[in-house]
Amino acid sequence: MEYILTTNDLCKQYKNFKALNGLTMNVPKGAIYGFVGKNGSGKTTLIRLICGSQTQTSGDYSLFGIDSKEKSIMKSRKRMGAVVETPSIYLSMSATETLKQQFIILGLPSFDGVCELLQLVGLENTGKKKVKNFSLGMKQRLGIAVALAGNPDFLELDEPINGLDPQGIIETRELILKLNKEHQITVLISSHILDELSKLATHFGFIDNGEIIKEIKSEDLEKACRKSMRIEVSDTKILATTLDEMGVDYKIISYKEADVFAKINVTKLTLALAKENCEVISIIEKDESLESYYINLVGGGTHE
Amino acid sequence: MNKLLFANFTRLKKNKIFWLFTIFVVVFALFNAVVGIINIEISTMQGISFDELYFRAVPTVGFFILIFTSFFIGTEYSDGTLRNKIITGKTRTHIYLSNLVTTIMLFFMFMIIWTTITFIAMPTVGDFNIGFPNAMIYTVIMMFIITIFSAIFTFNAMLCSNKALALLVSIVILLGMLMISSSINNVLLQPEITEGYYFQTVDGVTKMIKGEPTPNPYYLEEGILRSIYEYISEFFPIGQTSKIVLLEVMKPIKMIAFSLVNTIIITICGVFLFNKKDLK
Repeated sequence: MEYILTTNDLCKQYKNFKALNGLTMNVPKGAIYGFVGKNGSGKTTLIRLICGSQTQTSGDYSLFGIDSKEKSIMKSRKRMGAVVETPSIYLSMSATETLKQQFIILGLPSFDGVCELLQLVGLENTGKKKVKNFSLGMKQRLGIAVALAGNPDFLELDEPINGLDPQGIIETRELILKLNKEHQITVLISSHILDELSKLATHFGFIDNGEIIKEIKSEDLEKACRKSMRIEVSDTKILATTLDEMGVDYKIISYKEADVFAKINVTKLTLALAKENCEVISIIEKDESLESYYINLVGGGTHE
Repeated sequence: MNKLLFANFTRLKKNKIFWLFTIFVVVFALFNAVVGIINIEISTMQGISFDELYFRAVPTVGFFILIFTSFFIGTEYSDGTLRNKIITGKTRTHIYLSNLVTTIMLFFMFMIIWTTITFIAMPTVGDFNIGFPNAMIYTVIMMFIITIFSAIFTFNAMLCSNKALALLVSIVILLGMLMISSSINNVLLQPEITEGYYFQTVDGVTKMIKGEPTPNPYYLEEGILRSIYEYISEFFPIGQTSKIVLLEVMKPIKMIAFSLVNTIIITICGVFLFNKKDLK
């Protein structure tokens, strides 16, 4: 598999605080990589390192196959765009002027792509309105437009939906999907709004205390987050035997509780248990979300 | 670096501080020239010299450079746009130098505006008292003073991520230099001999009598200590500024060399530290 970004045992120490602690991750080409972790887990630090805003204390990474210790890493960054924390835009300029400024920095020969970029992010009608008067969502979209000015193959978005209203969240989500599907841009998106990430990401990397604790494809995650039923019975030994006979996946939680990972015929199961003198006390349908998966992961639960 | 410079100059066109300073320089220069002309036309006493008019703005240079760098470079931090430059593969050295060159070029431009407008008064006020060649030497020293001030305040603005803090630190630096230079000048300008005057009443008539010349206890004797004081006075751009205003430049090459060497040292240190700095 071709990777846009790979990191190897990356560490970043700030005085007495270790923000990254041997982080190793791989972002495949064409993916929307959901970078999941709580506040202070090291998401932004990693993005800052990749952008060149900061340098790692130890370890290395490669971007488009170029090692971070090589001088040409600067050139490889030209193929990347990023919005780190807040959008990097001149507040006293209009959207068009901000993009033109970025075009000049990039050394583009003309301002031909400015209108298309504004259209792409839905800011074509902002005219001479100053960026400082934009809504948070508009600023966020302009930040993405600035990041896209160099026609990048890889986009890093740090908490892009933080503080956005529902409409803004939908627009940003659709924009990211459009960039990935129509423009073949690989996206690394960090967030702690897991529900939103689950609608976007094709791959997930879970970070905690500065290290990746799990990397998983979205389809594998879906399987891991499969639907289940929590059944409370008078004797789980009898339940286990019955479920084995039915050929159903399950997990015994306690003497009286078990999780069943299948959509089963409740009447059939209840009758079978009744035959063995096992009472069914309650049945609750559970739908494990990315959130609970993450909580279990960070808390040390197993999902293998 | 050309792209960064071009981007900076493009940004200047949208920068309020730039337009405010440009208007101020034009208005102040016009006012200065007109005051000079009026002074000659109506004054019965000896009028203002052209030297005085021409070098009047020199003491304000450091202050304007500190304001400009704190806001222009500080905005890169506050708006986060410094990141855009780094992400697009620009080296930190180029980013630093482009901001320094922008500041120097801008203040050279202000100097040209000032010179051009002030020269309107020349036909009325008269030529430089110090002579045209000396005036040119003073102008070159002035250009190096702009360069060293730009280097000092660019250094501070590039290394201080907080715009307000950068402004505050720059003001403290300028005031510090001002205090050191004025204390040193105060010592250096003491006369070797003082001739005091006293009043004496003889036969009911009070007269002012010139006293006997006595050695000034505050005069700093020629020697190592005086050399150190003179060295520091010429070393700091503020000290150089006061020498220009007082038309007392004795060692122009030394002053230019000080500014040049200081600019190079400060910039090398600034580039080194900026390359090591963790940016948010």
